[in-house]
Amino acid sequence: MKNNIEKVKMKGQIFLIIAILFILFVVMLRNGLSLAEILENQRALEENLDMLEFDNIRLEFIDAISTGFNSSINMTNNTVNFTRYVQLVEQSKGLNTKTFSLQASFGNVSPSTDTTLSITAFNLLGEEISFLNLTFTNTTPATQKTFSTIPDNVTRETFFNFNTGSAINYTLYIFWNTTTRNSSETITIPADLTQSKYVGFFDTELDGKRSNHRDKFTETVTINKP
Amino acid sequence: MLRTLEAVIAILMISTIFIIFYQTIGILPDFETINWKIIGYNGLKTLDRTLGLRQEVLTGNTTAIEAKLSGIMPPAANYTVRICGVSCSSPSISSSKIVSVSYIVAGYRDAYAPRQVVLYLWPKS
Repeated sequence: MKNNIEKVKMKGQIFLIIAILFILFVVMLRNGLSLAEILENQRALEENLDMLEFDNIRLEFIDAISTGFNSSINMTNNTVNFTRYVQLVEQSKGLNTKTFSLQASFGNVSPSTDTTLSITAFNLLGEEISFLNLTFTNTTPATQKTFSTIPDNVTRETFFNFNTGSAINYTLYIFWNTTTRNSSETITIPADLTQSKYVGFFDTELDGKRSNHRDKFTETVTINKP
Repeated sequence: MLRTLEAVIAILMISTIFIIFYQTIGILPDFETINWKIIGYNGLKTLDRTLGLRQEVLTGNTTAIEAKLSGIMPPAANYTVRICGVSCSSPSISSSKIVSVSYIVAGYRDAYAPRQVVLYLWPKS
């Protein structure tokens, strides 16, 4: 009789023992499941997607230059138009791009003859450039060109001359500022005899859904080889 | 009687733990759609680098692009491709879960013709 009562008691206690073991299992499972970690992984994946989209834009600038095959005018026009196109596409998705570009080109360099370096600066930063200074090391002291204002979505053109008897790397210093930011850049203009070149400098930024990406890059193309 | 009481206590203990632990966890993020986007983007990029995406974009051949994507897309997803200028009109797809990813091309060879390829993905019903 006593044994039977003990058995009945044990049968009841087994529910509590199972419940405690189950709770221990759930607690261990819950501790291994960190919501913060899951959300962090999601954020990293989404940022990776933003980065891929920015990479696409960045590489397409180079393709836009390629479509202007053998014409520095087409290269300049295509990249300016492509910059505008990218901004419209991103705006249609609720995003924004900001780009400043400076494109330089010159025709075939003849020894000890003046060659014109044509410059096109393009502001698509979403705000007015209040000051742009270009310094070109073609002479000593270097020549400078300045612009007091460049409204948004506007290009400005200018030129420098250079005269060389041999291949030389000139330097073009760029400084611009707006009411909110400024930037200084240095780009190399490689002048080789009997060659025509295009040098494009791009400073582009994508305000993504989750992260911002900015890159500055220079692309140099030899248009005619001897 | 005592056994019933202990069973009820056990159920209450388990229920309490579930309520305490899982009432604050919220909805877990949906990784499937993000993964689809990344797979979709990489699929378009692969097509661009090796399988002539630009040529098909220039001629507006979405069928050819979809055929080339067939081996790359997630098996659990349906997909369709649109080629558009600045903005694309949404395709008429009746699914509560649809994702899209776009890929911009500036042109093909010496033809400057900027377009965006938009790839829409949704689950197979």
